Amino acid sequence: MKKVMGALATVTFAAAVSVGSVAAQAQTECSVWLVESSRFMNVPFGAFMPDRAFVPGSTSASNNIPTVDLPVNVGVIKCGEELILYDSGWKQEDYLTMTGSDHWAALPEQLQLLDFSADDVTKIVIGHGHWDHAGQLSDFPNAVLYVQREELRAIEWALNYPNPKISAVNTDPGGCMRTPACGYTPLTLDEIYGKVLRGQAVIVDGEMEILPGVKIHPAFRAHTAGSQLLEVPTSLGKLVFGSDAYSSWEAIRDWMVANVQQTDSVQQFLAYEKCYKITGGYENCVAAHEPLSYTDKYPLTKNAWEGPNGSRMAEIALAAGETSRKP
Amino acid sequence: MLTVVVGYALQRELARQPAGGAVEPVAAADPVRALSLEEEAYAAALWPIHREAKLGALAMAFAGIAYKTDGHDAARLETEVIPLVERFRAAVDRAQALDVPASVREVHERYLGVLASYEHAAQVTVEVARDGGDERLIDAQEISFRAGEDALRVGDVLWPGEYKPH
Repeated sequence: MKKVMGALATVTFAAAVSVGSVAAQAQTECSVWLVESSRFMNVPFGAFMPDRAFVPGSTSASNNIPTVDLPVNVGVIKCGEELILYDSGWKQEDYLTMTGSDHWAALPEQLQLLDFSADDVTKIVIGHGHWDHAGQLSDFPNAVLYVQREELRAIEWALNYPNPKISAVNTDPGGCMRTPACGYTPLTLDEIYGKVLRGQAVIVDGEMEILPGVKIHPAFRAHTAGSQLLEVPTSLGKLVFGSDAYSSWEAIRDWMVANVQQTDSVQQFLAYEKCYKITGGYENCVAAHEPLSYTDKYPLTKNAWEGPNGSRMAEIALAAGETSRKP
Repeated sequence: MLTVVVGYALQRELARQPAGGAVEPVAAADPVRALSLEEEAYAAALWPIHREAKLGALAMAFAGIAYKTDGHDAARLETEVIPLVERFRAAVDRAQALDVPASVREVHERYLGVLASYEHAAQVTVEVARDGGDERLIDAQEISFRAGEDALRVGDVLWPGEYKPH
């Protein structure tokens, strides 16, 4: 018995040392680019941010812009030999055509401009499962998908809810505005399902470190039920990608709600706070739909150029030894 | 809904006119055109079948996701998907019973193929639940995915504004 206990103690100690060693490893510094999957055109500002609604005749900078164009931003993150996408844009051009979008380009084509290929992508972390953020998964054959269990659970709950006013989807008469199942379209869900079936999906329960220093943080109900953020160490300090929990960078800066979907505004503000705590401010929060993206008014994204079909791309940070991929 | 569909289709047709105002003839095969009254009635009759089919496809995907990620419960998979087989079969029967204008016969046949594919995918899924062989779920998912894309092609003709922004 003593020998068994002794052996167990040795194993336990060795395991503890091993875990400690992993934690103590220098965090990998990653290189980061931002790519515009498509752009929603002429969106009333108030539909995106209620507190920025256009007021005719207003002289306030907060309320004198009637419409904005909203990019759909995808993070391209290189950490050593691993290439990660945060979000994956649209897949079905039919879907985006019906939403008045323009400047769509296939992600594999955009990655080629950065001298990457679709086969190089090893991980895809989707901030949430909406149609403009979880498309094109099937175009990355070697990528493992990371999605929160809470996101999948909530979609299924919403679709099965007996009240049709609550289970309304995008194809219902009049559309679905901001009901719980809005934005989850069959072919997008099929993309996620395909990854699960091929053993290329990690169903995440809350926090998860997917590489040293690269961490998923849950942001439940900050946009959708199972939204998740991604913390990335870079030469600029830590960045936090937020998908639509961080729809607007100005909103994070000014503490306003943005792109309210299945959102609990309290949770959205707590998600903003998480970025402040992790990065030390708002400058390094990466927003999915910020209208000022790819300009010097959103400084993180100012090192930008034009890509295929008028889509935009930006180089955000380079790890030591990484050369610029800006054309 | 019909007003929205026809209005949207008309808007798209008008947007295609050259600046001088002359009306370009629309090719018979052009999917983007205003529906005739009979075509409109057919599209309206097919719509509830289509909505149920899409929800069934979503339910099938979620049943598969739950099976793969939550305990490999084959009994639960079978219980959830058997009704979908019946739902898709009933949808085929209902669609076949519709009055179909000759001008959209080809679209109709394509849509029958969509429903048959969904039924097939559901049937394969039930077989997996009974016999094992998870790799066949990939076959079922691919069948369902292609059916979904075909459904979008049908929607181009019958319901051009099918998916609304949110």
